[in-house]
Amino acid sequence: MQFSYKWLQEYFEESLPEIKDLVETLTFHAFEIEGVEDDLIDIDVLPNRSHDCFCYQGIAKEISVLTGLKLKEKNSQYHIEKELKSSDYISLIVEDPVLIPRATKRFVKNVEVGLSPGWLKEKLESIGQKSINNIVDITNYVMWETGQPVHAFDFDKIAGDGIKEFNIRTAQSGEKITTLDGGEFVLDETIVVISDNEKALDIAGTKGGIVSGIDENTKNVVLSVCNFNQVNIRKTSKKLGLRTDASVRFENGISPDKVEGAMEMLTKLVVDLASGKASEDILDVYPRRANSYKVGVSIEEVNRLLGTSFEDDDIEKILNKLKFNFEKVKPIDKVLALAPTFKGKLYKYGASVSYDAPNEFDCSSFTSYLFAQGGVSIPRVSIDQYVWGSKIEKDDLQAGDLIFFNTQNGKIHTETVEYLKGQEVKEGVDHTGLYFGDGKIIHASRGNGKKGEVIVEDLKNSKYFKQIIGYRRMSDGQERFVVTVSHERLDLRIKEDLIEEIGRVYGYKNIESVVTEKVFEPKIDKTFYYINKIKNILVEVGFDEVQTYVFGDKGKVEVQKSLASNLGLLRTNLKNGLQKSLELNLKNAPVLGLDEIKIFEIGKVFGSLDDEKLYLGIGVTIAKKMKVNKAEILRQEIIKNVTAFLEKELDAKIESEAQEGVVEINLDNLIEQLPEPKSYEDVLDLDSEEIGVFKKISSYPFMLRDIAVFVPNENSAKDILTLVKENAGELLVQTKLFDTYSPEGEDKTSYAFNLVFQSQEKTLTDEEINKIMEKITLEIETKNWEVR
Amino acid sequence: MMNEDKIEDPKPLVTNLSKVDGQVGQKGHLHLITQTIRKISEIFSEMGFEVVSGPEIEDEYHNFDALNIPKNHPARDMQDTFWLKPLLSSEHTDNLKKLLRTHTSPVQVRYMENNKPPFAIIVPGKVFRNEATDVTHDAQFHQCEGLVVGENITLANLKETLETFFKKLFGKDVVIRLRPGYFSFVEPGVEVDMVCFRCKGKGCPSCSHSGWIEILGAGMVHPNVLNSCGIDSRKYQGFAFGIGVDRIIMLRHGLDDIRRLYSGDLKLVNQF
Repeated sequence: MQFSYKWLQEYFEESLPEIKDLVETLTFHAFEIEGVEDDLIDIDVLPNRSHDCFCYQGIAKEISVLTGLKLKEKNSQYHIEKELKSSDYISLIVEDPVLIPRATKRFVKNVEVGLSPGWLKEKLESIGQKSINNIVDITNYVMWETGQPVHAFDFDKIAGDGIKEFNIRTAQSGEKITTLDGGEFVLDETIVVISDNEKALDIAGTKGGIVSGIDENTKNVVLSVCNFNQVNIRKTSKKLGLRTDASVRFENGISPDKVEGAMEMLTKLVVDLASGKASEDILDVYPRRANSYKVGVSIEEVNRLLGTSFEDDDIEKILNKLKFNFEKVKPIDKVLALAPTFKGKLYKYGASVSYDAPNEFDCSSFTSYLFAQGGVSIPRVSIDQYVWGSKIEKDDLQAGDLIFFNTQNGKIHTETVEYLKGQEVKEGVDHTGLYFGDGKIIHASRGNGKKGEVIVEDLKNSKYFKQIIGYRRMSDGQERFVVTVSHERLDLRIKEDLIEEIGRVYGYKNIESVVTEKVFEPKIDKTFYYINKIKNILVEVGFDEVQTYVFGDKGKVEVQKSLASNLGLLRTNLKNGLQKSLELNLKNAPVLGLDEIKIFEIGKVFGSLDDEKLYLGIGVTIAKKMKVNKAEILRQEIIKNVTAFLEKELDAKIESEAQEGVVEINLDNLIEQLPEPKSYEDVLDLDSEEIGVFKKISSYPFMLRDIAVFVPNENSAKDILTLVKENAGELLVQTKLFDTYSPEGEDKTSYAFNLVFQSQEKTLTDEEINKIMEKITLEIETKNWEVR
Repeated sequence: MMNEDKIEDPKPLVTNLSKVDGQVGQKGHLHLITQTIRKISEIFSEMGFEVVSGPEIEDEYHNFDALNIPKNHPARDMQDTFWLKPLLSSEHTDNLKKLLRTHTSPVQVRYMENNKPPFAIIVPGKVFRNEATDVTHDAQFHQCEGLVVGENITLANLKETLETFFKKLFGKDVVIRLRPGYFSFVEPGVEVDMVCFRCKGKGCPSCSHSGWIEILGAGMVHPNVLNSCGIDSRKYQGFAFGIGVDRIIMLRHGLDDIRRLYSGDLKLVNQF
């Protein structure tokens, strides 16, 4: 996302660092910068930060953390119309709190729709957004500022007399809507819409409908700020092929607690810039408000993962810099202090730690919630807690340990559910409680009290703790930094997330490298070894290795969406690819200086989804001019020889048959019969340590010339070549000696060469080459050699 | 594309199965991919890594779910996938849908499922992405991913490992830097840049005048990944990295177009 430097500056009294320095700071501590163009910084906001940083507020906050510059207090006051009530004009019904975690609406009367003020237009233009009218611009602006998509409906276009009903519901199958930009969409029952009592007004979280759009005649508006389920919006967006600035933000997941800030800003601007009269109340449907998330980490854990040697002060400094709300606690002290305060809280099977606690618990949500407050993130399910905790004996039992129990009643888990999923626990676990010391246990159970609740009781009298399975310790006793995560940071959920925050703010460049201790004996991979061994054998006898594509127009395994119609199938052989390669290289044989094209490929072929095989393909074609049948004989000979050579070198039998110059060998089968290799010594030892530099490959045709020269016997072929090279210049790209002839009784020898000319820049003409040849001939003649 | 050796020292024509008929002939050429994977493997072998290989057709679970890339997570957008027919659709078999692996990480998942830490492995291999091709992108290319898991493997170890690797690959004056990055299978995640070896950090067209070249992604293995593979994340931790072999080749040898690597063209192969 592109951010205007000038716009960001408005968040601060003091001057921001220069763009170059700001970019550097962000790069090393937060985000990758894709580029800078004038005032615009293109920040690559990755998925883990797209909850909070897909907006100016988020980036400004981040800049404030990293630079230490203070964020400006913004005036958020605006005039509210006494006695004007949203609930006198509109009502709000939300069908499904999972799809629509939160919805708010506010009525604003007597707006004046018109042009936006200059500053607003300028801002939107600075990031490539077009100004439409003040109301629409405000909604757009609020989204860029807060990351929360917002919308305004024209109240008078909404169906109904008296109090008009907003219903946020799933669409009916086949229901239609025309969006603000004129797009027509047919919806289905998975898509959420904001609707009046007649029709869909808006594809929720994606795009507004035209029927209730703001225009120059709009008098009264309904401001709408909602939170929608990220997965649902993503599916809707994909299904409709409609990706909008709003849908992208919802897809990434944003906190429902962003809603009020956005509604406040939206209302203020509509009041200030469009003279609207804001109602006193906001209709707010928010049935499931999540608890603040707590994440804890100990200094030992930070150092263990990063390889640092931080001390308490260092961590505190960094957490303060991050403006995190945190405390330093001894987990067990916290747990034991809190636990009794929940006495009498109701039991609810499957109670959510995020939503139901601390008012309702089941046994393991109770312990999970308690430890979360102490900064220890333990699994949610009792059997997982049992596997997660450190085993202790009954004699070592201390207050704050967990006791696990098998009630022998109902469904007993014997396998872990989430943590190390599928681990067997033969003894079975279905209940847990917190040991409170002094022979007492505190736990949530359906059998406690009348309706099921949290109680403290004597362990030995407890009917739930007759079948004790074991005792576990959940804390190592170390102090922990426990962060109460601000609502928009949906990415901070586990201790590793905190460690990342600490690491990046500290700066990875400040972490000293440490050599890894060797504690592992690597094995030799047989397939890798023999693939390389075989390649060496083939290269040794003059074969060149090629790689070709697995995609083609023949095969049995089909890709769902191919890049092109002739690339939709996976190869079942290497032959087709090798033949294409042979053809290509045959054409270029003179430039390559080859009389025979001898190539091979090792790669996977696909007989079916479950039939992936490793093949070796060897292909040969003859480039040297000779009679067709002779060439074929030579080709077969080469293939026969190379196969025999492979057999000899590998000491294995190879069954194979050449077809049209290509032989294919199943390497899975071949390698299976070969002995286990002992080391990579003979395959990983590279000849050359130097790094060759790629020489540009010309895309223009080459030209051929032959030249034969008689020289006295004291001269050699090399002398001729040197002369030819000196006079031909850089267009001569390849030479080959193809004939030597010494007439009997004469003191001279004729050497004949193929010369290949090619330009990097153009197609050569005969005249150009003739000129070069003339020059060469002239030079030869001045030496008194004889061009034949 | 003049081959100096051939011009200076023209050899008599021989059938090139020299060894077979006992004559001396010209050797062939290993493909740059092979040369580079060997070089990488050689360096890591010296550092105590095991080379591991695995299938190119994978299932959704091993390619995504086990790597903490859940369905409908935006991170799946970061990788365009070649899904294979037939497509299974019912919900419970969904994560067994077949695909061409988008990275070699599923091989690491399979290794973790079957081996106990400590270990250090690299996985070189061919991978596939369904995206428009251009000079730096192709539908098939090669990766070499690494994974080290033990009781006390740290980010400081990751840094040292990569520094050593790049010095051995590009020369001892090579400098790398780590900065924040995101990959769902690691936490913390880092991007690694290498000082541009053309201009040595001064800034040139190869590095968009920044002096640095983005060269790989890495990080500390996400505990969810370890747990999915049956490794207790409370006891073990580790680092992972992914090297783009083709990218290394383009940088190291100045290759102008990634697609040449898979064109079957000896005008490329025989240069090296």
